[in-house]
Amino acid sequence: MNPVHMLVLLLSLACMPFAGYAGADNFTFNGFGTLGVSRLGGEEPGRSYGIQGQVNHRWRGDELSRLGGQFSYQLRDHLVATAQVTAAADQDSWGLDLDWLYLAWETTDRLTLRAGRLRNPVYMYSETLNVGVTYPWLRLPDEVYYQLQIANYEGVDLLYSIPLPFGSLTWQVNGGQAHHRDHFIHDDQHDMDYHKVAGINATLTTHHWGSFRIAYSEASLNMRLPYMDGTPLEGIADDVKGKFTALGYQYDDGTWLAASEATRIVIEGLTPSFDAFYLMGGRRFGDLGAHLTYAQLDDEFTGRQSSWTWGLSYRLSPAVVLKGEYKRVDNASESQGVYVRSGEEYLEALARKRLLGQPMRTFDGDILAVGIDFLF
Amino acid sequence: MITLLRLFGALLLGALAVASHADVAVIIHPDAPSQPARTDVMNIFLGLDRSLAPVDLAGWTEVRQQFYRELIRKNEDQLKSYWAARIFTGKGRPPRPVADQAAMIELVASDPRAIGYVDSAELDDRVQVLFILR
Repeated sequence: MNPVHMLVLLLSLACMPFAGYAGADNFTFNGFGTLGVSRLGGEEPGRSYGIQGQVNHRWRGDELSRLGGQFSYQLRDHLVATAQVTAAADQDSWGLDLDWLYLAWETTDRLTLRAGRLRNPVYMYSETLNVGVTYPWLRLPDEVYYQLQIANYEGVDLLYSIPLPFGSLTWQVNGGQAHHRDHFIHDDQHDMDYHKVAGINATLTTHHWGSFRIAYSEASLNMRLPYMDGTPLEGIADDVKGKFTALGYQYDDGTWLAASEATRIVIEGLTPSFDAFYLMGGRRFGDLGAHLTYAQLDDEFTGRQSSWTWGLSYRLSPAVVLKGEYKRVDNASESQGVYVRSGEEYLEALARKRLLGQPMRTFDGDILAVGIDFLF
Repeated sequence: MITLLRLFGALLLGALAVASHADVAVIIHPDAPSQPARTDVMNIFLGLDRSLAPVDLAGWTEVRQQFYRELIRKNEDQLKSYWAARIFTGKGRPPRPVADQAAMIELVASDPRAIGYVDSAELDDRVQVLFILR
């Protein structure tokens, strides 16, 4: 079902007789946004960084800036329709993304079922990627968050929450598919179909010791790369299974804060496996906050990207936070890390390596970012 | 003389501290279906337990501030960030807000599933006190 069909379905549901109980109070709107710029230094002009290569030697606002709104409508007791739309830059042009569009049914005090377009809950911050006030950074640690490009899927999930004397335990099980999603490789955009998306995660939230999360997700990956035909890499993404595992931890007592995630991706066939993690610690001094993050990404076939990020934040109001970050990125061995290398550049480097024994070059640099996150 | 002034100053500060520190009573309807313990109330106000419907005071008033500091252990920033994450992931909605303590008592007194909090000086016998935060 495409987004237009789903929107029509939700509007139809809203017009059904039981929606007659709904009044103006049943409608809620919440908005969020980020206005920020980032820049890459320490590499040659033109070199870019990130999934879409939106960080380069110029100060640019299209990696970080976005504006989103969420509309919820209570159709009847325990049944809510929700749509979340974000305006963001995609491949150098601005557009609207329908991130969420679903019906949620609170079947009991503990169980909620949802159906529609949902965010894929792979990482700890996957479901609030666009809502910057929900995490301490301006740019989430790339080493972990760069790896999976699937943002949402069409399907169902269930949330089961068990209250405990010291917090709660929430299970989330999800399944569905995601067709025709953008996938970026070597500075090119491709069309990826994710079949049989399935996942399960558990979050133990405690009142005093932070929250702990464990997640597993898998999907069948399907992507045509015509230029690979006739090469050993033909069929590299032809119905291959990708498996993702993650562990996460968050702590925030109002003064001290910490966050960490460790992930592992295994893709069948010729694609390398990736291990990544980050460790963050920080402290607030009134309205001012400071944090330090170490992050690492290991590519099974090449090498390691590691980085240190120093960040500062200043609370302008409870709903507006000014943030600034400096990130030093280093790659070892033949690692490309999160840097973008064009297909031609990659094939040339590969040929030089095989024919002349020249190791592939690595990339190092500094990323500066400044911006504000806000809610409205 | 200096000692006396210091003593007077300390007493004045102490009096001010007491004056700005209200006792907050957590209240439910007399016929509420359950009598939640403190940890249950924490879960209810964080949207982790839907067995009762929490009611909040609008604005970051002194009573609300003390309730969240003493029981939930969150300040205004943390609360804002927490609910942003819950709202934008569809995992919960913040407690229903009411304008003032009179409206809070009115609502809790009329809804057996409601749970709220007020300055203990504002209490009346239409609601039942679960516990008091000092």
